[in-house]
Amino acid sequence: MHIKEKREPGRRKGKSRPWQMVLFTAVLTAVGIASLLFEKPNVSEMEQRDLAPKPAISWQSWFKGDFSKAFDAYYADTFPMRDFLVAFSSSVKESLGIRYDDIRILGGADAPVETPDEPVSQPEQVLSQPEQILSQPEESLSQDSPSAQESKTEEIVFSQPQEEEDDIGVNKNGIFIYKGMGMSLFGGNASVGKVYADNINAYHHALGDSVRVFDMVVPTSAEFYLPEKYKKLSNSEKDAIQSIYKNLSDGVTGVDAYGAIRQHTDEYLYFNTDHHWTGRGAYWAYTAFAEAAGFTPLDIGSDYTVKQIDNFLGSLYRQTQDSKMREKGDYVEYFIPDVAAQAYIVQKDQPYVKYKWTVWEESVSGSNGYLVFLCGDAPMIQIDTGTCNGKSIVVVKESYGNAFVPFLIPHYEHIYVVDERYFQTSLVEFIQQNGVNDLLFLNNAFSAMTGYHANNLKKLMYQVYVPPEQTEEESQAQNSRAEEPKWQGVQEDDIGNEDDDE
Amino acid sequence: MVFSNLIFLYLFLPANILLYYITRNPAWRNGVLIAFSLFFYAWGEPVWVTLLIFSATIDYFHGRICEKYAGRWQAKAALVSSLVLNLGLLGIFKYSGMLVESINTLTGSSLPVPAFSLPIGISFYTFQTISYVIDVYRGQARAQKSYWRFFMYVSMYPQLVAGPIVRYKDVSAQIESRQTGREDFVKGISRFCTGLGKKVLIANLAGDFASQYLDGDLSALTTAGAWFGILMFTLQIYFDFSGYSDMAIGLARLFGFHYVENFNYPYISRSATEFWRRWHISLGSFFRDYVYIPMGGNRRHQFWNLLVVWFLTGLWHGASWNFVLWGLYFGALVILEKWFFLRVLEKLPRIFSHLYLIFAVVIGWSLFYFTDLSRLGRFLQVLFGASGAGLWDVQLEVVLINNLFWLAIALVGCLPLVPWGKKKWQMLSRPKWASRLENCASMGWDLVLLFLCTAFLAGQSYNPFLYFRF
Repeated sequence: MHIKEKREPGRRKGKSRPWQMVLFTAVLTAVGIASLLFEKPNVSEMEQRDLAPKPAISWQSWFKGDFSKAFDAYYADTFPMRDFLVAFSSSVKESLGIRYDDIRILGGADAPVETPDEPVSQPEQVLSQPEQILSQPEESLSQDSPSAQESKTEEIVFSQPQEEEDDIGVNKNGIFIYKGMGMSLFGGNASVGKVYADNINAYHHALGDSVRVFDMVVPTSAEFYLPEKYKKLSNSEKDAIQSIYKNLSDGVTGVDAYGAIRQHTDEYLYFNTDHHWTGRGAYWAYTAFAEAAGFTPLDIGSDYTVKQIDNFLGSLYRQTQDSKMREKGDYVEYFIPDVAAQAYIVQKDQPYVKYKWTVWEESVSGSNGYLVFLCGDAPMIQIDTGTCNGKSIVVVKESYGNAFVPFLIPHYEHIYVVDERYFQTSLVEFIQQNGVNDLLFLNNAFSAMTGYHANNLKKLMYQVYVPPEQTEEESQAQNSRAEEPKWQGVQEDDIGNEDDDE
Repeated sequence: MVFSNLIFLYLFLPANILLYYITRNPAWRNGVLIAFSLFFYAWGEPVWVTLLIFSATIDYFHGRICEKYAGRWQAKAALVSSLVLNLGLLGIFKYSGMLVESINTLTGSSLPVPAFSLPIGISFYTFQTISYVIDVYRGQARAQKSYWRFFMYVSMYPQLVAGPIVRYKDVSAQIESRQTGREDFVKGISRFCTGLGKKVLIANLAGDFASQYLDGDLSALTTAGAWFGILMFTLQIYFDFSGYSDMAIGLARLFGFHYVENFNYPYISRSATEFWRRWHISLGSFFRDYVYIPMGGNRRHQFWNLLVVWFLTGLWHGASWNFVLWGLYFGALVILEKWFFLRVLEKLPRIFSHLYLIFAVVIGWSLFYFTDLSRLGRFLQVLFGASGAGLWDVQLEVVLINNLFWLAIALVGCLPLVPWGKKKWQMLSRPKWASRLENCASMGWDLVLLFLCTAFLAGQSYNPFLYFRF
């Protein structure tokens, strides 16, 4: 059947050209073509995460709807000029109103509100994601050519965003920005704190009196730097910490980091743009630990070589892209004692192999500033020091512990830094086998009050390492990844070093 | 797929426009629309696209039979068969879980609860094909002879997944033959960009606020926070749904289809009765024409008819009892208004009727929002002052100030200022160049909106439409 289409009067003889049609279609088409042709990035530095990869299509993935979901994520993640667009939308959001009293509050609806009943099954989920631990920057000792140094900064693929968020898991009240300083508002729940304390008590019970057990819960910046009028927006971390300490059994010492930090709040103890404390904040906590453990702390004014990394913009900035935070900025101070130290790392899914590692990864820059401390999180990092006193300590921590651990170098011959999220073997056996003297649990108030972390402590005690089951496809994928030169060279080198060490 | 999605905006849409306009051959154009619609639907429902095809196919034949045997038993049988099949599909996929759960709760039995995932848009397209068969049966529309044209009507992606419910007779002429040209195209683009802006720039942000205040621990929610939260949901659902309708109407117009309006500034209504003449018009008129009037309308047992209609309206919105409650709530308001309340409202100054309607609607959205009835109860307590956390909170104060301009724009956006301004502008005597300037300005504004929405979408990986599950 033939249908006649009438011509619009305006279209006749090009009287009024349909320039709007052409322009609009051209804009859409041009952007579309650009989106297909542009080179696609794999990681987003701004968000510190791997971007969604391009999915492979198969009948199965199409009919399950997996392909379209994955492709949506991939396309949105790799859209041309995405970083610019995201930054632009953040700045638009910032100008949707007035910044009264120099205060801005961003909601925390997306942050999980965890309850003590939460199943302990989470860690498995975490562990099942192979990318996470491997994405550490590798050792730089063996690389000295300038080009290797350069490429290294690119290779700093980022440590686990989900876990980073988990560190601020009880962040249900959102982010408070005051005069350019970002603070996570604390919504901690005392009943989780009870689980946390009980789980620590269990270690004392298991290990007996031969191992001294300490617990140090560290307050975060919201506790000290919220303006008076807004104090009650954040639950009291002091009360939360006290309630945890009250639940510790007799053999476990609660370390009063709170009191030590409180006396120095006019110093630079917390970052403006990151949810972590600074090295200086960790120093004061270290003095409190020294008092509890019975040794004399070094003097921050005279006993360390102080270095700093400038232009640090941390997690809170990345989350908010707030202009005032960016203006204020941060630097990362780190303190090197005059004692030799060599670190070794245990990577994910290789719990019995140690590679050489660094205590201070001095090549980090920009948004990776906090990685200067131990170069991020790993299942276990061992530091052998020149302090030949035969003493050893296990520090069980999340990322807050990283800034703290180097201060222990002058006091212990062996320091074992265990990340409560990634450690894969039995911690109790580990402590017994290594003849450890002291055991310190170090957490910030948010993680101590987060079910995931609290439950993890219990799980670590007697867990048995099970190598991940690999389908043929997966192991091939892993092999192909291992073939990438950046891993291969370093690993071979390091295996050699490890043999020397034994 | 959804419209507020970068793939849709920059791959699907330009490809669709280019292929559509590449020739004037109507068969090609219809084919392009069908192919893109199927792809659009299959992107989100790769399996249940079969259901769409099934529904369209049986109702094509139902329509043919109704016309061929008009007035005879065969026509009636086709009508009954269409109703049974369509409502049966809806019943199985949408309501079977709710039904069995309710039976289990009432009788204490433990029948296995069927867990079908609801195919996207099923509530919309089954209603479209039902309306078609009924219209043909009643002789109010001619049956479509061409299967493909009928299929195009059912599957048209602009309205496929979230309405409006387009009646066959409203678009039958355009299905046969339609004009496309600059006027429609430009107006279509404008309409689309407006809808996109409503969705991405207002509804999504309002939705973030709503979930911040409504999804948390209700015992920590202040009364002011509760009002803010539910007002944000009030904004979200309006801008989301009307934005979607705008985008649908705009897209259809790009291809020469003229859909009826689905929203007409509902929040300026002065009664619940008026509100439902302005809110989701295509649904209200569906129930009016195919349920209420056939049952007897206002001639026989009107209140009973109204109750049934509102029960069904509520139930249509979702397989959960709170939606039924929400529907009956509006039913009760409408009945009260018909009984005497409208006459009272008319005697009072206008401000009272506006306040009454806004209050009634906001309370209604509380029923709509909380699928968990015990949470709803607690929320209503907080809303009316029984909050454990006090009446006011300083955090809300900061949030309000931090987002003051956006709030003002969103609230003003509920008022019919744009049509009012356009009317005034057109009443002015303007020199010739003014209309050119107008064209340029309008295009510029569309591109600005598109750019803003692109920026906002770029940072958002997950962006589902609220009305998808209805």
